[in-house]
Amino acid sequence: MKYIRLAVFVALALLFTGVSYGQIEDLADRPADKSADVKGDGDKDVTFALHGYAQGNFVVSRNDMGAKGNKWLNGRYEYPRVGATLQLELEGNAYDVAHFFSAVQIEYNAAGEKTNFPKFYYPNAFLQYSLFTYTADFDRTDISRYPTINVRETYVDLYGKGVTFRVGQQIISWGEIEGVEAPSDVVIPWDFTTMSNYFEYSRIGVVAANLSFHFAKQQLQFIWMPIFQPAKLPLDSLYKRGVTSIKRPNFEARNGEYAVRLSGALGNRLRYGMGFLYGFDDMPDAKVKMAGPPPSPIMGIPIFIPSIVITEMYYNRTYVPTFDLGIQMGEVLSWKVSANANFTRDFWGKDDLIKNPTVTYLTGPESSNIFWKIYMGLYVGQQWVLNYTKPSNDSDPMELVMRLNSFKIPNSKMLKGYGQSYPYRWMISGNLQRSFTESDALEVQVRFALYADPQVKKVDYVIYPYLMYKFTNGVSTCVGFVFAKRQGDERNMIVSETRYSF
Amino acid sequence: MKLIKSLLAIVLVMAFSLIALPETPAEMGARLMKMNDNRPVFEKIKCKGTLVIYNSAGAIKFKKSLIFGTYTSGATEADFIERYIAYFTSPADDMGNSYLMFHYKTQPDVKYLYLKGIRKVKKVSGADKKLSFFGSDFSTAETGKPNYKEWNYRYIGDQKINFKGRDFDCYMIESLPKTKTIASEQGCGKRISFLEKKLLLTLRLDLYDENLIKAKELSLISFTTKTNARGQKVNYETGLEMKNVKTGSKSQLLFSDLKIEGESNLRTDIFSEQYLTQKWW
Repeated sequence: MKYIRLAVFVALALLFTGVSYGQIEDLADRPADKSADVKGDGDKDVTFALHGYAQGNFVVSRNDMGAKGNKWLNGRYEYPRVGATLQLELEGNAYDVAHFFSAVQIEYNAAGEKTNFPKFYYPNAFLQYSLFTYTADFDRTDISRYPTINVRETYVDLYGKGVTFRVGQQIISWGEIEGVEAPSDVVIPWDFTTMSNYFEYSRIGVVAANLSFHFAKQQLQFIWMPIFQPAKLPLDSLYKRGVTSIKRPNFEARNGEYAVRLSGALGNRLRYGMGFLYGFDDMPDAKVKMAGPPPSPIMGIPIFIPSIVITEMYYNRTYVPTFDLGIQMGEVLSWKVSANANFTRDFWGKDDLIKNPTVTYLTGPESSNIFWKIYMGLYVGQQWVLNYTKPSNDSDPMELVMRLNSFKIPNSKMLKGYGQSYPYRWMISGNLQRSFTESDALEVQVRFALYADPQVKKVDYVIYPYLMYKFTNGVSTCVGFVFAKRQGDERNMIVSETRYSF
Repeated sequence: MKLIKSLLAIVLVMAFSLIALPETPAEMGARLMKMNDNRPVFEKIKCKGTLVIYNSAGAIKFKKSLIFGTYTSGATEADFIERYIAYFTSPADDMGNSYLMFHYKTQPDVKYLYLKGIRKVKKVSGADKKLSFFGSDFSTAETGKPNYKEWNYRYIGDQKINFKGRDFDCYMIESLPKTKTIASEQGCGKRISFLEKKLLLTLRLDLYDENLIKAKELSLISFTTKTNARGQKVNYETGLEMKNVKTGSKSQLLFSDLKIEGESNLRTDIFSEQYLTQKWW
């Protein structure tokens, strides 16, 4: 009897324990509960969505050219960008075979922009130029304040098995490193006029057909760009340099650009990229025309004295191989290399009016948390000028006399404008980033690039710190500071952008 | 003969004594955590994920949505790979960013991030385990499965833990990192897991910082039970909440619209850089 009672007790205990165990399984979500879930976009076969942002802009800039530069910019400080931006982004997917994206930016700038430069045309002399000189004078009320519309990107993607094809206006980014200088990121041009804190607005989209094959962790990419898009340069720097016109290559089939790149991963520790661009240099070369009477002999030496100097900027063909490497170093960081060679038409450095070829590289460590939760990319490198041409000595009267004709000009300013004043220059480029406060709502970032001559006596710099605070979903404000001195131009700005994304 | 019998008896007694010896707390902790680590998993999952980030006042600060796919393969530890791919669908300023991860048991994880702002796929260069997972109270390490081999375990007792209003008996297992490097990488000096006794689900996980001060508390909000392709019953966590004890903030990671195995229609070739910028869901 005693045993029977014990057995019953044990059975009851086991039963109740079992009931207790069973309860947690009962608390699992039931599949039926899921039927109430709203179906995601991914369940639809064809989708369209409209997104974008509205943004208030306020930029204060120090006018370093000031009274000694353009007459119309005679204040020390100005507001070159005060207004608002509306960007509309339309995106669609058709099954998993096609994708469409368009980003159109409408910007109103109350500060306006000078667009109607006086143009001069002398058909008999085959001369046509804009008055981009520092003596330019015009009515300040001449500034255009109409909103501008800019199609940043509009493209269609088609997907096949292992193949993607993107056609339209697009931003194409090459390379392992990112930042102010990335030697292998050569396909699309830079916008040196940008007054935005968002790095993507320092790039300009290009119209391209972009075909990529994907296989075994590798990507083979072919790009055709029928229309050349050069880098965007600040007009005030052109004023200062007395440039009369900038001429793009004509829109002809022969003026297309072509690029190819093989990239991918070899194992889990090595990434590489090898590219080649046959295109135009995004930065112009100079063509100086000096018109005047025939050289008149002074003491038996024919001296040419020009009566007018026209400085045209134009774009030359270049051949640009690129190279990238990313090597994982232990668990903490990876080591990156980014390089390019820019072969111009003047390989042997004979012509001052065309840039000499260059070889540029940057290399350094990158880590998502080097210490104190700081993201860091820090790269050191050089840019070498092949067949370097030493600037002429403009203070030597003998050299001036020997050199003065319509094709040989004082070239030190020219070489400075090309960034080729020295046989090589040092480069340091970096990107540091850290988030602070609850939910990482405050982001602090510094991008910078420093350039120095071989003796490190003259240093150019682009330093760009910014702070972004995210209030809640899609609402943020951003304040950035630009300190830049590069190739004879200075820019100092405070850029504030407050954005609501939808 | 008598001597042999006696010896045999002694040997048998000793052998049985050994068998009967109770497990040490370390052995029991290791065994239970191994069982927890080896719980059956789904081969394929596709679901919607929502990351809700609350501030210290309890108000929602950010809500991020993503579409999430995983594919697990490999029968042995050596060839085991868990692959994750995620695409952010909201908020608007995060939309278009995506994430790819390969989790191995015998080698470090491999992670890629596509950032729409720079139009580049970046390989994440390690040392990110203690960084916040997209601004939430979860660290990157805490969103994935911990590497079983990196920790020493010890059973430290039983405790009742409340789940959906009911108390359940749990094993308390203390986990200590095997090396200082692991502690430093993960920003974690100790963990105490509360494993529900039958299903071995982690109902709660207390996380201590490198100075062994309690920093965070992870709780299970919900789970679902389904059968995987091998016919095994899988208990899959569909809701997790991480409370930051130090700051008072909390974050929830919620999975919904769960589709598994065949019904997910998940292709196995999407776990590549190509699909960080291409629709796969």
